[in-house]
Amino acid sequence: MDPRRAQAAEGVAIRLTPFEQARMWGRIALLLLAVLSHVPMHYLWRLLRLPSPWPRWFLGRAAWIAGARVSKIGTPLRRDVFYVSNHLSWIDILALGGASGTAFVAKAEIGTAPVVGWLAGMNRTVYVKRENRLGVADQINQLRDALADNWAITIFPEGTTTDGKSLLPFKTPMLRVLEPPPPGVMVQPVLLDYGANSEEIGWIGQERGLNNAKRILARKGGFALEIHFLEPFFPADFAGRKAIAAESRRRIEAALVATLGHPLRPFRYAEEAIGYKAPSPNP
Amino acid sequence: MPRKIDLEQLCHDKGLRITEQRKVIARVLSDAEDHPDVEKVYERASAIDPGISIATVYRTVRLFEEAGILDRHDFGDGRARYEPSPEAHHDHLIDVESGKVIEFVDPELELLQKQIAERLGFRLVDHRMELYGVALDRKV
Repeated sequence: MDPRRAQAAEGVAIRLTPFEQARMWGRIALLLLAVLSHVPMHYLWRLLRLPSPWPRWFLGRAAWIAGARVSKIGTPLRRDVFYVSNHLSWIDILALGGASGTAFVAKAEIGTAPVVGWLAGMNRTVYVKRENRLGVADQINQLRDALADNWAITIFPEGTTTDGKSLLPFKTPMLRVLEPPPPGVMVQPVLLDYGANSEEIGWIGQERGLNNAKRILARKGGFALEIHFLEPFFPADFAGRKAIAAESRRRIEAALVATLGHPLRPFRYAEEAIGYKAPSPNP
Repeated sequence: MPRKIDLEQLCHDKGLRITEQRKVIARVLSDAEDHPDVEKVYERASAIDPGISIATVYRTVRLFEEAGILDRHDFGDGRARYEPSPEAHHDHLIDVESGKVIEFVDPELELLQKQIAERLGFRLVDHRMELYGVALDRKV
């Protein structure tokens, strides 16, 4: 790993060169422009009671502005689908949302974050409180309603972000929504593959969300992101959420090993519990 | 080897409700010679009827499989591949580079499998044989 990158993972706020500063501010300006051009249209569509494509378009454009050059492999199911994906960065949300129109399951803190919470609300984010074990039933009902409403929903069952060379154990409480599976809903595992840039993009170690956002937005040029929509399966074929999680993980792992060309390695930062804090596009 | 199994007719025989979209998917599967995966079936079906969604293809394929008129194979590339259930038994050879599937029947192999089962104290009722290979005349 590049020493500067390693420092960032240790939580050091790396100093940006003037060029990097300029790139960062340029991208922030573009992101603001995207917000200003998409959000009013979204509200207009809502006013006219039309299904609004604007959140999806916004996410796709924001991913592009942040540098992701997304290519899709395989066909995403569009409705009645529960995507289960590996997770490296906040860019995952922009790119996957843009590529498939999915809503996400996120930590409750996101909902109260300035700007990001407001934007996430427009994309119909379903919030969960991980600490609140008693509230799980409520959250599951919320998810069930969302699925019944024909949404596509994504969860990142690793519960944190990795460097894309490993896959953490899958947490299963949110998969309780599939016990029993709502009629017609399929599970589609998704592999996010940042290729050679995965270690640089992955949000790992002690790095603060804001520092990560700055570092990525200051980065020179774009980076490839392949979204593999893997073969979906019927959750009814598997006995309960643990088996569903295991099957999703098996498929993602097989696809990840195939793209890496070598077995996964243990995650170096596994002992650090990294709280998910979405970076603000306007630091 | 007899090809062209008419899935549409089989659906009818099995009493499955045949919608327009199912009819298209049945025809695509009946016409396929290459053991397509769902993505390929979807591609071909939506060329005929653009209204078909990939979810419909998944559901229909599953329905046919459960009705016993479609066979699912796992040829190790991570995607299930399908063929109409053949009337006569055959085995498969898979070109691991192109994913191409070749069907074959070898009486000696069939006999040998039966003999092995008998030697182990069994009467053979079924088997699956998949050979994985690289074409000999492949340019290196």
